[in-house]
Amino acid sequence: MSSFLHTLLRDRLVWFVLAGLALFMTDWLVARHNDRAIIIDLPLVEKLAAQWQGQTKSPPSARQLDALIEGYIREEILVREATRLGLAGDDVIIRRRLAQKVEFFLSDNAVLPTPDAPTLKRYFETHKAHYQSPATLSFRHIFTADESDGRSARDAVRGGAPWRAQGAPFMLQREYGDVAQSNLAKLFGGDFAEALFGAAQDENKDEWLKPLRSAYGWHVVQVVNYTPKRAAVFGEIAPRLAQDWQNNEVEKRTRAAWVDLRAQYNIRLLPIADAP
Amino acid sequence: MRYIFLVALLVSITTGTMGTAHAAPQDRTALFGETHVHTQLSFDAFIFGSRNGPDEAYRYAKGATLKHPLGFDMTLPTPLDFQAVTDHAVYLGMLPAMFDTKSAVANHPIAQGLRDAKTAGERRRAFATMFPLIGQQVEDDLLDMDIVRSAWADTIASANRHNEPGVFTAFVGYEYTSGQNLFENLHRNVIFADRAPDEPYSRLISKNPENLWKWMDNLREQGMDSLAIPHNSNGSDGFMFANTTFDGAPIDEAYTALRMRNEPLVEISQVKGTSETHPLLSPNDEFANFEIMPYQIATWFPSRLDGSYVRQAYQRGLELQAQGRGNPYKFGLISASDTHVGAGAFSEDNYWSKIGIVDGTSQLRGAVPFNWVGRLGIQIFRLNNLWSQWRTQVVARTGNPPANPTLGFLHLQWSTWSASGLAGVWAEDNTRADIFAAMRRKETFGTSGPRLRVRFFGGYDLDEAMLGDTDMVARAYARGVAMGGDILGKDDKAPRFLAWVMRDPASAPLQRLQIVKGWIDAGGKTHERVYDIACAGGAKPDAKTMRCPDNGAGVDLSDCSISADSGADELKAFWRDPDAKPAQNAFYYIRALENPTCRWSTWDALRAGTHPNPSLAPTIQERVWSSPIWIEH
Repeated sequence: MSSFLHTLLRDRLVWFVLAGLALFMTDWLVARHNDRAIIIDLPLVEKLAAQWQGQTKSPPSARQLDALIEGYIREEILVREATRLGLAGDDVIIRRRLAQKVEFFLSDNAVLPTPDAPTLKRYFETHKAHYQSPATLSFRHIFTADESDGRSARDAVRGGAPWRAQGAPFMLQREYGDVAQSNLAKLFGGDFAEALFGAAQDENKDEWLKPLRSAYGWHVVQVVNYTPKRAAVFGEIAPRLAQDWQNNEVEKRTRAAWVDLRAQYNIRLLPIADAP
Repeated sequence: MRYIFLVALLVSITTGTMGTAHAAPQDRTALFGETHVHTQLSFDAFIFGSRNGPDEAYRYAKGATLKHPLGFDMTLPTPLDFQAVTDHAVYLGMLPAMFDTKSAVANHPIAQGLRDAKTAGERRRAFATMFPLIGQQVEDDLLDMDIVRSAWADTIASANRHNEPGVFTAFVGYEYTSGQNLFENLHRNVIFADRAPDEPYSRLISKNPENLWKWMDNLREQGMDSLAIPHNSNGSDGFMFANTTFDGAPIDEAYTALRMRNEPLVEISQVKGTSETHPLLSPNDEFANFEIMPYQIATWFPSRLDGSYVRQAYQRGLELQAQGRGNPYKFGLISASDTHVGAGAFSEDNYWSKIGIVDGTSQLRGAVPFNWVGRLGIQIFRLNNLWSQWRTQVVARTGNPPANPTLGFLHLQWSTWSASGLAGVWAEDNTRADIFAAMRRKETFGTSGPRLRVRFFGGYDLDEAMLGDTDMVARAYARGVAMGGDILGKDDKAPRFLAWVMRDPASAPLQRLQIVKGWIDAGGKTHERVYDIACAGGAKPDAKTMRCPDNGAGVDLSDCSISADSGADELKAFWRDPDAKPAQNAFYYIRALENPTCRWSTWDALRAGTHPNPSLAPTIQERVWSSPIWIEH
């Protein structure tokens, strides 16, 4: 037996294999050791401090920084252990987070172009209805508690008396500029808004109208200006259009990117009976 | 005439972020909105079944119809002028993340319990399993700041998308859901003037609101102005308006300045009850027993009265000021809904409470009785509840419900809840800058739901003739201060006030206009008194009791119709304080009451064809509260 060992030890090939094994062992030990190394360097510390500052709006003290570093070390060790144990694979939060990150890339994959004039114009033409402005009224009113007071106030102003001195005090405004019917309804009730918008289209401008009833009492109204519903003018809303076009473009691209991505996958629906 | 305008003071603090005063004050208009809305991004709202996000919530405010978790439609009869979505910062957006998975969701036992909860009872218990997590412990595996940050980014983007200057204002906000060690509610909503930071400050960083305020101070220096609005002081067990700081130290001037810089407003009324005052704190106020919610939030523990109500806080503020500590409770008032389904329910006859499938039916709210099957179910539910509390450690102790006051009806916390409330602001224009500036100067009011509008001015140069003056508002602004302001006291004169309230066309007419006064006497003792100053039908208040005669307004409970012949469209009055004393510091605020109408619980019963629950108030007198005017010597 000892002579066999002796022979083996004299064989260079055996020495070679042994040396190889030793090298491999050393390498394995060093690698294992490196896998267990956690390096705390300046960029990392700066990052931790910046995160802290982001949350609390003040830089960390020395003690807080120590705690942050210790927290990082703890997290890093636990994450490595979790990875070693293969825990990341089916973790809901991690899956969700990864999916979210890719979603973010999908919507952010290109620098947004500024739309050129023809593009914007085309966009405007197809979405015209969305941008039209409703009819609006500018008016003054005299508020009275009952209809007969309203009639006499109307007579007085038509006779040249100053309108502001007529009627009773009104809690809200005496004059309104460019109010849409929906807003007027919020202030005075729907019936009043409807009646006034109806009257404003029939009657002459600057005429003091017959008293109209609101939720609060009676109003003698002078329509100063009536602006009918009008289509949007391209030039006026160009900045808003550009913004909307960009939002729309982001949505479109995200959708397209998603469709692309999904097309790369082969999705099979198994019949229920065959499902495992 | 020298008046201190707090406005000016605050403007000087916050210059740069506020709107320019482009219109005269008399052109300010009353805008209605709300500053307290939860969507599915809130951990609890998600459990309650809400799947409406910030976008849906803003669309609802503008008039769109949303779905309730139980499937019915929710629509506002009149759209709002402004709104802030305020999801809980703690675990913001985490719940949808836990749910949004296919099969591999067995990770966290709590997540599983939450997911599997189907019935209202199961959801309630699932909600209770979250309590330890929002309390002392933080479960690392439930908190992912990256998700919080992206949900917060979504919240900001949504507000910015829906903000339309001049038409609809969408604020960026969130709820800082803090408390003392148990359930003592110290919640507040943080509303940003315009720009917001990339991460909200939550109770996971600190439960001490003073640290929140310091964070807000810091942001303000960086050009991001914000204010915090506390709510549900009624459920704070006396901690919201305490005599001490969070840590129990005495209040000092530095604390006062820090608090007032950041908290100019308080939510006086919302779904979880009204925090104006309590019958035991204001025994001489016949109208104090209004929508009282007596529990600490999310428990059956009674909430201490002392330190939990607004009117007492105002008096406490005068005391602290007299001790040289400054007045930390010099706040204005608004109301909000605190809905958790992305859609506030403000009207008694169109009510769905606020926590989704847990209180979405009239039976669950205790307004309509159960049949015998249901009653059996309730008893099983109670036993099951006791069993699960005994069995599982994770369900926090929240106390036990009192025995059902009336057989057959469920009595849960939400039986004491309320179809409330709306915020009113006097702003030049419907923009972030103008509304935020109005909140800063406290030119705000809160209602219990209806769109009541109120004006309130104080000063020494106001007089009775101004009441009939068609230019009254402009003159009142020129000669006095509006709600939220201060008057510098003059010892030889009694302060004078002009008050004016206008009804909501869609609600009942007005019954009475009141001034609530609180003051501190020479001996340092505080007092309060409620004066009726205008009565429907032109009657005069009794000189001794200061009360309007009964106007005979009633409600027919068989169909909820109200008497058409009593009540006023508007009430206004000039009032000189008959009890003013030299050197007396005081506060005055307006309360105006509608004629009685059916409460939501009565509407529920009427629609179900049953009698109203006898242990709930059948009627309600909807009301409005203005921010006070303070007189300081």
